[in-house]
Amino acid sequence: MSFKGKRLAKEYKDLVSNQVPGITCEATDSFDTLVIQVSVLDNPLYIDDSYRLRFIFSDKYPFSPPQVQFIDKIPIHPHIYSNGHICLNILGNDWTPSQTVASISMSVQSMLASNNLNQRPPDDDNYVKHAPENPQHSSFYYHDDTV
Amino acid sequence: MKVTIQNWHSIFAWHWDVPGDEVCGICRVAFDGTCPVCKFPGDQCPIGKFFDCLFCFVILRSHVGHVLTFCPAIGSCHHSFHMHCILKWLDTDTSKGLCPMCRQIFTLENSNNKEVFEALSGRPSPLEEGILEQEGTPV
Repeated sequence: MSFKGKRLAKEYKDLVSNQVPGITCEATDSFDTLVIQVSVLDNPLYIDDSYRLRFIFSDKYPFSPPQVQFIDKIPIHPHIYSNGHICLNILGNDWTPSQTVASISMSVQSMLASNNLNQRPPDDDNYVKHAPENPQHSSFYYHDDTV
Repeated sequence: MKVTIQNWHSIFAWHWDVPGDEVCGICRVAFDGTCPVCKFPGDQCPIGKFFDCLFCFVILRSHVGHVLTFCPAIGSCHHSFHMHCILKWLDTDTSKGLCPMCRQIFTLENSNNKEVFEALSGRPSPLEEGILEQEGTPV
């Protein structure tokens, strides 16, 4: 098995055995894609919903970050575009191989939990019109660390 | 009662003396196992091919093979990785020469390892701050 396969097998096992509240891994038969269900328990903006976060792993994983985006229902957040793309530094420039599917899911979950703005990013319409399929090809401008 | 020992077999086990939780911070495999690139210790290990290493992370320091330096790569930040894994990471542009765990410039704790590190990666390791400052960006 490849480097990627071995590491993801471990991560999958951990995800299933050490359950984190609000983070559930959907069953998978390949380690090219993984879907995690994220729910936020203590924020009225998201309280009744569960969101699906899709991870696509390149063969370079964990030396390069997975491609991560929301699919189906997209939570409203000033850093999440309506096509599901997430503006989050650890998925791009600040990736390190010590991050895991679980740690990314928790980062996204806490990003939602701490948000109280019921709005999309200011450039949402424009971004969604021209966005590449792979969010890693977008050069996000990390303009606001306060949200 | 007198007991006469006629012969005995001695047995030993070894274990890496590494700080922290003793798994590689990149591949999450214990140091007592090989990194995912290597199937068996020493088997087709790309680093080992040249250095004739016993394990993928065990470095034969001397070419003659009498003096051995056995080491996972332990950083001066006390984070440890398989030598293979950390070299692979530092080889990427994204790494910027930083430790995957704490984002400090990755430097090796042990000076013996420094030579090994430089020899294996085929370029100066990001060990001397002077070099880094001159060039502006981490190696």
